[in-house]
Amino acid sequence: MKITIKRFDKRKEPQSIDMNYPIFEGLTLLENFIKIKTTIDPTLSFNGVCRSGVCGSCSVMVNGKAMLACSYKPKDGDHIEPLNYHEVKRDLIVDKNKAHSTLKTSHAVMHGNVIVENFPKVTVQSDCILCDSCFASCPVMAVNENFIGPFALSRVYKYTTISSDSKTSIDAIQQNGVWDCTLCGECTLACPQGIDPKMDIMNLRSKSVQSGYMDPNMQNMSFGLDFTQGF
Amino acid sequence: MEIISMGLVAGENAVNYESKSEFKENSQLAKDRAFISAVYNNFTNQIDFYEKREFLGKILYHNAGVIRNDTGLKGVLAALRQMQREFTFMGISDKSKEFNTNLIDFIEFGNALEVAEMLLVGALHRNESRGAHYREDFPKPNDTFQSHSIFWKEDGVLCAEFKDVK
Repeated sequence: MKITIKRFDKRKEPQSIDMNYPIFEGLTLLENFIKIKTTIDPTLSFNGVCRSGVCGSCSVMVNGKAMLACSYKPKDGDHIEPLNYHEVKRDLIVDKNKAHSTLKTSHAVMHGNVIVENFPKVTVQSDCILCDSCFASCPVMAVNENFIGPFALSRVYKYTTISSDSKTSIDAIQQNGVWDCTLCGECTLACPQGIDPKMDIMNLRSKSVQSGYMDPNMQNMSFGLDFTQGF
Repeated sequence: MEIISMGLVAGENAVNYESKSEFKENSQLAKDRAFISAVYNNFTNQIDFYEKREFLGKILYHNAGVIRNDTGLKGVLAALRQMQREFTFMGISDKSKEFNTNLIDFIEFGNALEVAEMLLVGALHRNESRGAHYREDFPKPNDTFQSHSIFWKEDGVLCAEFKDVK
């Protein structure tokens, strides 16, 4: 019973190696990391604070799927890697600043007055713990690194729903935002908090249309009909 | 709950705090620098501090946890003072300078040794039961102890006194 962890140290040569460690039965992946660190290899570095799925700091890729280490029990042969699309600092520790800067570019904050009646509509979205699991599972990130990721768009949806002025955020998410999403739903599968960013993005699309925007991809679609040759 | 309530207070104070324009060298920073360089160069790492940490957690839980008594507290205090003496024989295995969580764990263990000493001395001196502090040998509150426990360090030695509640 072994797991493989991808280690990284920019000062070593080679910088990245795969190392095998035994599995401690009955413990979560994060508890396994702690056990490995305290009994086998003190140089293993990882993030993890609350150990109970609340803080969102321990997300890692297990066999290519992003999940919280504290709420997963490892199986034989699991391959653990740091989060996708993040700059790796050391071993499983990544720099989340770039991912979290999408909250700024999308203006995912309160604008105008609060509409208290709408709060119950976005209680699920408020549960986001910024673990970046959805961001690391998003296939759009691989082709467009400026894409405003799922969690930021979900948060934009939350604030446009509960605030009176939604124009600033809606304007900010037209480029590299709602229309670039492929609606594949990987973010929804990855979310440990049960948030559905895909549905939020679809709702934001209708909000964008209501604000006078349209799908830029529409112009390139002919639906099998060629209108240019004229009636 | 503590994070939520105290975090709010801390956040409000941080906003109102007038930031000092330059980052000043102070004595605590120099001390911490010296300590960390000693950890890297002089601490021998012959004793595994992770083992000691687990042991300390266990004995604190059983003897200074929900139900406390004189002998138990004294026993833990003795074990703790022994660990403080052994501290320089512990150390870190990971000597890298970036994202060294091994070093962070070690510094936190050092802090735990200090805080645990205060906790134990405070619990030992308070011969009564009050709130979350329950002593098997003194199960009733005693009004002579209606006071705050104050701790400070003088030349590295822990000092304690009771201060009356105003």
